[in-house]
Amino acid sequence: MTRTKMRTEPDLMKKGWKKHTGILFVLPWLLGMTFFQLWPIVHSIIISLFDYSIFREKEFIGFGNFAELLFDDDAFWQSIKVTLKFVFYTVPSRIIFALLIATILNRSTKGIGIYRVIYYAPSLIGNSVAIAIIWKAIFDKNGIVNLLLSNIIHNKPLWLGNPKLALPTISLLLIWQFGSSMVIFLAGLKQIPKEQYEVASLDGAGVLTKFFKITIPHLSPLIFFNVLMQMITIFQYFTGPFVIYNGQAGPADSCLLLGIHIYRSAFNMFRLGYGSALSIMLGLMVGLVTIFIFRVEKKTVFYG
Amino acid sequence: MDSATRFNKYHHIYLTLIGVIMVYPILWMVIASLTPSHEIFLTGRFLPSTIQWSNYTEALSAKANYSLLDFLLNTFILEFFVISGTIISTSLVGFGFARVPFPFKKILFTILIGSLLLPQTITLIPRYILFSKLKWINSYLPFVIPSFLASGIGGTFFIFLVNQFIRSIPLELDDSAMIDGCSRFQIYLKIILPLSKTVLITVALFSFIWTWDDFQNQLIFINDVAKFTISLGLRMTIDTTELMSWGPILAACSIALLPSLSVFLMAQKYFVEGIATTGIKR
Repeated sequence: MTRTKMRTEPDLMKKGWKKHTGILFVLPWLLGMTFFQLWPIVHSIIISLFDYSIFREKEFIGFGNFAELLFDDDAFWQSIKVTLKFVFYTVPSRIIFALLIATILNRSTKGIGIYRVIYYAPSLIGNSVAIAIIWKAIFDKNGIVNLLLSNIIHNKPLWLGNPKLALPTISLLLIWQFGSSMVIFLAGLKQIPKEQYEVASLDGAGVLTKFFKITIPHLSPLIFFNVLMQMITIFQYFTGPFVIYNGQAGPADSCLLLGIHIYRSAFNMFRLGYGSALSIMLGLMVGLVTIFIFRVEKKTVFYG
Repeated sequence: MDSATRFNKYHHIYLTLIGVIMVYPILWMVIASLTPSHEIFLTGRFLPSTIQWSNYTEALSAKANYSLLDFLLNTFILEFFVISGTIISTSLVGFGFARVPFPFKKILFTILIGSLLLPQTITLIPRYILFSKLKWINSYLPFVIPSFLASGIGGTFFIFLVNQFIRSIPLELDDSAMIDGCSRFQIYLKIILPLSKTVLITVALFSFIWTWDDFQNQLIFINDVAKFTISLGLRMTIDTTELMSWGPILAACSIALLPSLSVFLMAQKYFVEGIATTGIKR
């Protein structure tokens, strides 16, 4: 009796221990998640309640920062306006463009590889400082865009210097990067059974009917996923206007994105608490829009 | 000509036209970088009257003791550590989620998915405070340590990618190795890793480009010019030299884009497949 017990117990212990060792594989991520994601979120909420500067002792001020941004900071409201406009200009255009090009590309047989490379490249390099500088050069008053348009428009528009045109011009830089969504849609299109289109054709359905009745429903989970991810990215956009305007926010603050306002508050004015309060407002906005998108998804997305 | 070929023909015209618009900014940059500065904005001509190589020598010449070459070297050093860390950590974690049972796995996987939706801007200021307390500011540790913990740029995306890939490897391989007495770690090391070469190359390539393009994190965590990356160096070049003309600036941009662009062109299949699979199987 005792012998068998002695033999089984270490085995059991070994088994039990083994069951938990599995977690060692994901331990790096667990640590990273805790220290670089979860704790920073909690910490962000905490310091948003403080007057927290690098130079002074921090001081608890309750919702003081939030009161300031809501009632005393015109730049905050400007940045909300600019950010919402920017998301509205950029995300739908990017998705629609990606969808249309993917549909056309899916029907062509020749040269699909080359087109795919050309359309996809901007979305991989487009976030770099170099591309922002190039955008500044091609949309310069005497830049190539005005040169090409000189036959159509005679007075040269100041694309990046005009408060009405600056934000759309920067939005164009992001729409130019529709390629990664396009690649995802293209892969999704390949999975739609060809027979469905053939049957629809026999029933006399036109190109548009097939697009709205077959293509869109099949791609709807992917469209939903892309709208969500793009929205989250675009809400936080920073690099383009920051590089183009050299840390400023464009003519009449027309490109004052929330990301830039947060950076300025925290790292130019060294108000870390106030910057955190601003970034929590960004998180709340993204959260609200995410909930909205999930609601729409429940009603519209087709999981075939 | 039947309607299908006609359809195709029209579509090729659109596709080519859009393609020209897509590559034009980059093409223009390369041509303008070889054009004498005074000519860049003046003429309607497509090609320069003379090829101005001096734009490149000027772009590479040292300013304030550092040149673009120093920044390139810095970025490659940073890339080496970040890519190594990312490959090691995301392959381990991806394997863990795909193959190994452990407590709270479902909840943890849900957190992993949820973290995709987390706007990174919220963590920016607290990470700055954390890194300054750890005395990591002005070093590459704020990039290297997170990458070894699968939470650098794109970390969650990479875990997903590896996880999806490993799930497609037949389980029988693990089973027979286990019967032969292999431990989980040996299965990871001897069976799964060698079979995952393609997905790990994809991870390395994406990691390379995203670190190369990153600007905001580098701007906040690195202040010392000696440690500047190409993004920071390039921005400094245009900022400190107001008088500098467009020719050398665009030459500097071309140099800065050359590594990422050539990596993309050489390995575009990996990029296309990488982004397509995560988009589909979410």
